[in-house]
Amino acid sequence: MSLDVRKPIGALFAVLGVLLLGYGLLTWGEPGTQPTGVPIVPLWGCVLLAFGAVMLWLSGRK
Amino acid sequence: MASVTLHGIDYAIMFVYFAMVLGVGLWVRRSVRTSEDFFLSGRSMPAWVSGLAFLSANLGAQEVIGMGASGAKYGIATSHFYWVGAVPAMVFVGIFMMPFYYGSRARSVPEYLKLRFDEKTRGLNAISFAAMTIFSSGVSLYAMGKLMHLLLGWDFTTSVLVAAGIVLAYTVLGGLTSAIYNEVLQFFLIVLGFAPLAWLGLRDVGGWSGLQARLGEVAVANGFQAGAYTRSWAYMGDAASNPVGVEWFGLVMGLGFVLSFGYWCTDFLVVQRAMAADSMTAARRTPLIAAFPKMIFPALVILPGMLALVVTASTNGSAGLVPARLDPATGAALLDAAGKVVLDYDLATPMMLVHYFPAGLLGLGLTALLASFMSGMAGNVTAFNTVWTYDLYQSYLQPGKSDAHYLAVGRFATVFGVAISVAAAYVAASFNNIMDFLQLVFAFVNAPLFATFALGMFWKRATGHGAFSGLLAGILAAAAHHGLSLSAGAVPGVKGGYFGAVFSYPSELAQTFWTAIAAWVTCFVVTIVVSLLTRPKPVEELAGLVYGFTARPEDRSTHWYQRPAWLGVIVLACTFGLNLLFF
Repeated sequence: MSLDVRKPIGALFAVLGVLLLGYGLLTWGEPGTQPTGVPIVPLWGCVLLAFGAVMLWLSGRK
Repeated sequence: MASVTLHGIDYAIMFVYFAMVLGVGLWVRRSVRTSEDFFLSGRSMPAWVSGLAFLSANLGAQEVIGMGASGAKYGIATSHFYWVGAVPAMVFVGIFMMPFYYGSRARSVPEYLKLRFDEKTRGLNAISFAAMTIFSSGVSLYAMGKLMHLLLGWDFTTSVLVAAGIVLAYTVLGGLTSAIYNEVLQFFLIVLGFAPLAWLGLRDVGGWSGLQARLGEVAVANGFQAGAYTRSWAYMGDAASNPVGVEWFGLVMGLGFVLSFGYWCTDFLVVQRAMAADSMTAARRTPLIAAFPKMIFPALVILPGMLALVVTASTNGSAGLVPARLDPATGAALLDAAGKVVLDYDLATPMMLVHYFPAGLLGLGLTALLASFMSGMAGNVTAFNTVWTYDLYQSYLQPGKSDAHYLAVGRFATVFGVAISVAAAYVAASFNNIMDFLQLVFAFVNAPLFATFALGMFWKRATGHGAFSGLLAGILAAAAHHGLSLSAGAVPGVKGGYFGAVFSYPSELAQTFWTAIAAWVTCFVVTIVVSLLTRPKPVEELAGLVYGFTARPEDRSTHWYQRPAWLGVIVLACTFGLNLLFF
């Protein structure tokens, strides 16, 4: 295989995670950003970032 | 309904995703040198990649939007599509059928039919499959364009052309490899894009017990027992006691055996992903690996639909978040024969996205929705270009040309397939019932095909004349049963009853299940009878194609739990447990 698919997956989710985390922190506390009381945007940004990091780490292992 | 306004962050997320799928296509382009690279990924995929692509190619509009709609309409009984239908079929294809598909070195499912039976059986399957994939792809595009127009106010033509253009770019560049890599990426995007929806919804209604209590009230209001929407088997003893309107035998035979095995075991759209695996063991593991996430998909796609019914109060004819279906001419809510408001269940999942996802997360959810449409379309387009090039062009139009010629034809077929899909989307837009019609054609064509394959792979006496006449008879039997039956509230026409309503069913699903059973049984019986009256192939021509004349597949797995047979046992045990848990 010429491309380890974990690399683009990791890169995509890392970028999406950073975008959501940054946006979530910038808009923290604004109306409509916390449905059912959960700060879901920055929280899910962290989840995506962690998933992306794990994928990149797996693709970099020997 | 009012359109939703997107923020810059939502567009940014969509842009990053589009850029990534195109980047993957460009990267993979360098490794495509032969037609086998383009159509079969050079048979180089590890099992986990082909497994997730096997699942993702099926994750189109019908799965994400359709299963949410069924969740709202039928409740947890929709999980039978997974725990009775798909998962056992995936185990069967992995353990028993893949040795013939992969071991025969056939390049497509129609080509297997040619090797096992004859040219006319291959031709019938190749033509019907090519037509179905293109129309399916077009209807998916139409559904996407309509949804984006309804939700976001986007122009239908722009949405269709942009989505089709992106799919075209990455499939024409990198062929099946590019489609598979992007399907794996889309799989994770769909899972991580939809996962917060069920979580937030469940949190809102007080967890599973809260949902059970609220759906209990809905069930009683609709004339069922309180658990009818939240227990999958308890009310299947009688068709009148559950929202699906079918009893356990029709469910197990129609959905579990005929329709699901017909789709997962014979449809080249999914089988092509397993054929791209790098070894026989990887090919057999492909559907088994896919079965693990498939088992838990009801939580991702059905649960949001169930939640949509109860997370808000019902107003103006809606049921929770599920709005009434509107008359396109007057804008008024449509009523059924009993005077009840007809609900637009297809909007259950999109309305949940809009209700729960704030800016940023909404962009992620909508991108996941777009990814599902695109992965389904790419699956159809790559299956179409292979069947067109190998089974129609190379077989009947221009045999004996160079490999480079067929590679170029494959790329042209991709452009042609996408262009026809766009045209089909506009055809779909001008007919009210084309999606129903398409589902009907699937039931007619796929259901009898499983009988042909089952007999072809496991009975050496089955002949080409038997297979061809059985397939035709099965399709005609499906048409006859459908034409003589009608579901409650339907009028004769595309919904059936065009020869007179001799049989009536409580729901369309029940009618579909019994139509499939009629098609399968007819094909099975006619194939056997005609085969016994005609001359079989010599046994030396059946090596690698039929059970008993095929070497047992060599298993190179290191650990016991990687072996296909053990993986199958684990998958079935887990599925049995899920059926018990939600009994």
